[in-house]
Amino acid sequence: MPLLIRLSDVHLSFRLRRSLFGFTEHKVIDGVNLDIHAGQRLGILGRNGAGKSTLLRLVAGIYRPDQGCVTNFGARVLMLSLQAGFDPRLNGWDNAALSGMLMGLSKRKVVDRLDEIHEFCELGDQMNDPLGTYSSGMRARLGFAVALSMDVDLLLIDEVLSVGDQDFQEKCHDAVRKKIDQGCALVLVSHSPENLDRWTDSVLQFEDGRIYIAD
Amino acid sequence: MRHSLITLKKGSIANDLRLAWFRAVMGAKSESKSTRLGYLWWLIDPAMHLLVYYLAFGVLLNQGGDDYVAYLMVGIVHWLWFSKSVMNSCGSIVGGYGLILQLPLNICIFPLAEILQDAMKQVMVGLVLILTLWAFGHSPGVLLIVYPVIFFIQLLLIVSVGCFVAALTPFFPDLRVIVPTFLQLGMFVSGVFFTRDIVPEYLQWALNFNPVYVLLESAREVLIRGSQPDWLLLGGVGAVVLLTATMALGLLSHFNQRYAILIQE
Repeated sequence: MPLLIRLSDVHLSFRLRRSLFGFTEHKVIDGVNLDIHAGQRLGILGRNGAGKSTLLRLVAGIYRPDQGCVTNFGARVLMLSLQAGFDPRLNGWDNAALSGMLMGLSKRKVVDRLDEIHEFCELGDQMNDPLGTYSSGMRARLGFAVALSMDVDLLLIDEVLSVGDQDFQEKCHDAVRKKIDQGCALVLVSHSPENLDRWTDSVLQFEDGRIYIAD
Repeated sequence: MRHSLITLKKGSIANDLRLAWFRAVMGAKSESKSTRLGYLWWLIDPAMHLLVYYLAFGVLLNQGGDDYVAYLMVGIVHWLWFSKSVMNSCGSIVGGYGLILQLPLNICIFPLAEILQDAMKQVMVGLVLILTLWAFGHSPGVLLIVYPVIFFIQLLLIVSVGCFVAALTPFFPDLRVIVPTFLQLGMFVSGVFFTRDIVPEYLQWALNFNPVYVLLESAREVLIRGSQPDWLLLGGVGAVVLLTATMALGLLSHFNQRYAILIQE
């Protein structure tokens, strides 16, 4: 399978300011090596606060490592972020278009996909209402529908999604599975081994800033 | 390989500009929804400002006659655009915190979207200004075609300063407090209120090194005096701001992935 992303001896620290000129360093990633291939379904297990989200952001290209290298071999990577760039005063259509463009689609492609997004999120006429009037579940549904309409080679998910009611959750899970079946790779980070077993075919453990083979 | 890389770079710059523009349009739409009169405020707000300056300086203080009121109006309108836009850019990256941590974006889109949104409004403000000046008997005639050039050079100046402060603020958040003070100082040395003749003669040359002063004077030449701006000075400012705008955007691009970490620290 072609290689999508390679992390080579990646290190990353955050600086915590203690005084006017003083700060302490908090090492979050401490020498991670990781290859992600096309079609792979990789789980990363770690407790809360272990730095799993930081690792995903490095893979997504949001952070640059202090040391080491993250190489993207041309993969379209999307961190499944619900409600990216949403504005409560704009209606569902405008928010979907804005969010889609922020995730990397051209305006024409977003407009072409608006009907598909509308159908998936099941918001009906409420798409014409300002987002501020939506419940949190409705917002998440719209966000999920936009994210799922993207063309991606690698999907990064931070904890398993629980969006809306039971039926909609099933629909979301089916949509993610369909993406994976079409060849999209998946990296799922979670603190729950059960979720990882359900969604992924190999699991690594992330602890003290390093990756280990899971027990 | 090299060719494809260059093409990709060009394509991505165009995409980032389109994204900044779309964010600006949506930002303006969102702002308009927060009031009853919506987009009408784009006309009413500058008209009210100009009326206040006319009443304060033209009627109550009766300072310098109609020409001074016009002089002041052109100065204020262009200065306010500059200072508001720089302030909005200043906090744009820190304000985009949530988005920056979710998506690998070109950070330039945050200050650029603010700047473009303010520029859209300024087009309306400029229109109100021209109509007001016309009502005062100042008609630029065919020279009005020069005004968009001055407008564009001021836009580039705003991109230079706005993106520069936006680039530095995440490293030094105290700039959000310092920048307004410097802007206030800038207002007093840029000829917003005073005319060139009150500056001692031996210091007047220094005004030509202030790009804001050169732009304000150019706008006054065209809109009030109906004459050509000093093209040599304006051209010089245009060249410098083009260079500094490119440098400021380059600075943002250089630290692009640093910001996601900086705003968390």
